[in-house]
Amino acid sequence: MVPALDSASLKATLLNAGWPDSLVSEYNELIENEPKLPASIILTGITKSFEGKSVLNGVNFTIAPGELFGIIGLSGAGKTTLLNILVGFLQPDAGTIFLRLPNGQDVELEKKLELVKRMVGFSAQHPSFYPKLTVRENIEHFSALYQVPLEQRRELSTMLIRGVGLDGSENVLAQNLSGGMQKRLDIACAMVHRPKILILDEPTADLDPLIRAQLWKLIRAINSQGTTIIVASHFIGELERNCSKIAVLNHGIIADVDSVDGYRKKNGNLYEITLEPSGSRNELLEILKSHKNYERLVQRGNKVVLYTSSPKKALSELVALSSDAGIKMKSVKLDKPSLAELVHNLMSP
Amino acid sequence: MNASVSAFMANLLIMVQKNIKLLLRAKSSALIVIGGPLFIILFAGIAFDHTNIYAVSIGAFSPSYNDLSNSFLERLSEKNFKVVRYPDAESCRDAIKKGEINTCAVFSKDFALAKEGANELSFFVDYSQINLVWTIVNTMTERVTARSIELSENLTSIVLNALDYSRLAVTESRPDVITLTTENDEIGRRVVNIQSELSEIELGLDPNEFAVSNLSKKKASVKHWIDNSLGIAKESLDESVSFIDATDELVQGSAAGGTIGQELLSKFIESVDEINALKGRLDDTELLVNQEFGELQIIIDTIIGKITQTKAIVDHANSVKEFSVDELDSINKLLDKSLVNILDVQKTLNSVEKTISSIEVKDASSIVQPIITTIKPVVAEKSYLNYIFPTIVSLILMFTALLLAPTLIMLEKNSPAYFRNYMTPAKKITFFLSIFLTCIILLSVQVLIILGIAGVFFSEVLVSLPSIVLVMFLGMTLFTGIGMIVGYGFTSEETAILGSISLGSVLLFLSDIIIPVESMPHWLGSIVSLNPVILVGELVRKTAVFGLPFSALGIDLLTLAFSGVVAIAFALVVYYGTEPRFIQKALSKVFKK
Repeated sequence: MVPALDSASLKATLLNAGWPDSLVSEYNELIENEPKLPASIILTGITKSFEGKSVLNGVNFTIAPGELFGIIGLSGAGKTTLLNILVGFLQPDAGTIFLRLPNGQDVELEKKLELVKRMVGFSAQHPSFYPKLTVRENIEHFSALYQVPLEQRRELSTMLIRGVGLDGSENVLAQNLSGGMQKRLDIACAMVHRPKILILDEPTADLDPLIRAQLWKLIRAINSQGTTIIVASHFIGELERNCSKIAVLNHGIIADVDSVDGYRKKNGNLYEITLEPSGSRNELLEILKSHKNYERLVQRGNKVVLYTSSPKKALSELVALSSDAGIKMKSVKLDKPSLAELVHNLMSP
Repeated sequence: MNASVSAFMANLLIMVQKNIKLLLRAKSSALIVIGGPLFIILFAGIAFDHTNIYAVSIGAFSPSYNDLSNSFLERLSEKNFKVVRYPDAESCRDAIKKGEINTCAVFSKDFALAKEGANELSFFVDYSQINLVWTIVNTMTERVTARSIELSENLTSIVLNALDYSRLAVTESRPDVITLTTENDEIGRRVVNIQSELSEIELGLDPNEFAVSNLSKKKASVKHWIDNSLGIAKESLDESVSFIDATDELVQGSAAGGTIGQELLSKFIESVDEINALKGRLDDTELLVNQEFGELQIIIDTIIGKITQTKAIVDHANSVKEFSVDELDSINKLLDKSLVNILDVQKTLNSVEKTISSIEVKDASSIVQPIITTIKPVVAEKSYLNYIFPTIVSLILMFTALLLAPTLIMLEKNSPAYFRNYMTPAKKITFFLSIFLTCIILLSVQVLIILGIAGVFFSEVLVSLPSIVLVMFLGMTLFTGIGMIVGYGFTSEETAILGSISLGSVLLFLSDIIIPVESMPHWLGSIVSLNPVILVGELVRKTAVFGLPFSALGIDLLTLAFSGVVAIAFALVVYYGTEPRFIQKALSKVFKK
């Protein structure tokens, strides 16, 4: 969990994230008068079906204030439905989502949609703004709808434009921005009311790696101000690198919710052996058929990756078998598996 | 104004601002929705800013062209019509079907005036060109009627001249008739006098009154007495002679004979001689007397004959007189009758003169057209724009609103921002009102332009500006409401625009623009009269064209206002009813993988 930041820490974090000094001061000032962050978001037994088909089935987890929370799952796992319920677009068939306020009061999200709208910002995979309005116009428009006072609207838009790195493009029509810039603008639009919770659905989808990195930098910067961020993504590596906690959603069920370290600890005896033969991998795969001392086998190009809880034994057997078969290895690598593999294991039947 | 209201208004304004920006930046939409109607009014202004008909082609066929038919065609040519002559009626009619001409004029053979069977001029028109056909029919009728009237005037002038001549002749002959009457009277009077005179003439002739028999008797008596006298004379003479002889003898016989005797004797002798002479003379006299009496008798007889003859004549004259009197009586009666007739003639002539004089209309054109049906506009006519202005305004409002509202709604509903708008705490009604307000603002701009143009043509516009503004606002509200119903009712922009155009077409066809409401069945006409196009057109006509004040708009204005409220309310219902569907659509957009 990311702890709530005091003003000094927030300023330092923002400056660290590359925000100009003046802008940090302005933003700091703006958030001074905002209500305190809710304690947490609590999902209890969220169930949702569509036409008899269960999409979410008793989802339970808690998101702490200021957390950068990742949700990962395969297509059809129920991520989108869950996000829809989180932002109040869909009502769960069963279960409740609570916002726990600092005073300990739990507010039922379903019954306080207006509060949700004021506290939650949402940026979907596909940007949601007016393509025919400029960057500034979009931000000012949405800030007006969030009833940001007119006198603050201009400076807020300036600040957000700079914050998301769109300075210089403020008068460009949104439709003329690149994909990454559009995503930035979308996040800026989602931030116009300084939400306490920001939900991002596939924020880096369809973006090139450099832009993705920049975007994550931005997300982290926002999070560092104390904004709780929920990110749904299929880029597990990005979640692994950036999120403090990750929920694995599998077929409508939360397979697990934990930090990256937590996941690793839970899978501490599993190792990853990467074999790269000098020749074709087919011969290697043939001999591996008879070798059963591994949990899972994955092919990556000409490489063959084995996951096993007894790496030493597995390695000695493999060396013997390959020597017998006359297969020369270009490289052999032993490592701890990535979160992706751990999650994959969670999602495997 | 409390904070929430002011926030609401601020939201509303920024949404309107955004709507206008979006619309203007969607160039094609802006061009169609905003520019289109302005182009329409511009082109309509150019097209209808005159009172002529251009480019109407008339086909003509006559089995035998003559001066009359040629004069008709020349008259049409003079009026900017293109006249094309065809070899037969069939090819002329076919040319209409091919669109080469607009109407075909077929003259009857040996086209002539007032000649039965030869005075027919038939026009063939294409009623499928419903908007043009009445213009053509009216124009042709006008032109041909003008020529017919001209010819009728000529004929009537002849009749009028004859009548005028007759009237003059009657007037001039009236003194003669009066003279004739007077003379007739005089003749009658004279005839009566003559008759009287004649009647008084006694033509009775009694021969007895002439005593002709007495005359004979008297003649006989006279003759008798003359004869008697003569006899006496003779006897006297004889006596004298006898005396003388006696004396002579005595003398001779007496001593006294001698000288004295001689003398006596000579005397005697002389006396005897003389007596003899006298006797002779008496004889002569007797002879003469007898002769004379014979002649006298003849005369008397002649007289008697004459008298008899005269009597016969007189009798004849008397009978003639009697006849004449009778005839004169008849003549008098005839004269009386004639006088009566003359008086009748005089009376008739007076009546004829009076009748002719009493014809007040002596102008041939007035007789040919006793009632001149001049159809005049109730306002000063300047061009066709006068007539079509209300319709154009109504149509522009309708089509603009029907296109603008769905376009704005679709720009909103199909915008990626729809999702984010939903996420904001802005009230739903704000979005609805922002669309309405945007439409009203944009329509108002157009209306201002239209009114600017209208101000050039209709001074009434400025006079009744408040009424016009009210009517325009209500019209805009109604059409915007309808457009919003369409916009919120349809899912895609394409279907919404199609829906708008279809609805616009239905409203157009069920208005009085193409087919007069009066020509529709009563039940349909009652429904169609509530057509917003008609409602708005009527009110615009009353305000902008006739300059009627607000108070004179009556029930139409209330109907329009009520319709506008109903349309907006229904649009609101549709908006709330369809919103979940569009939110779902927006979600599927932003969450699509």
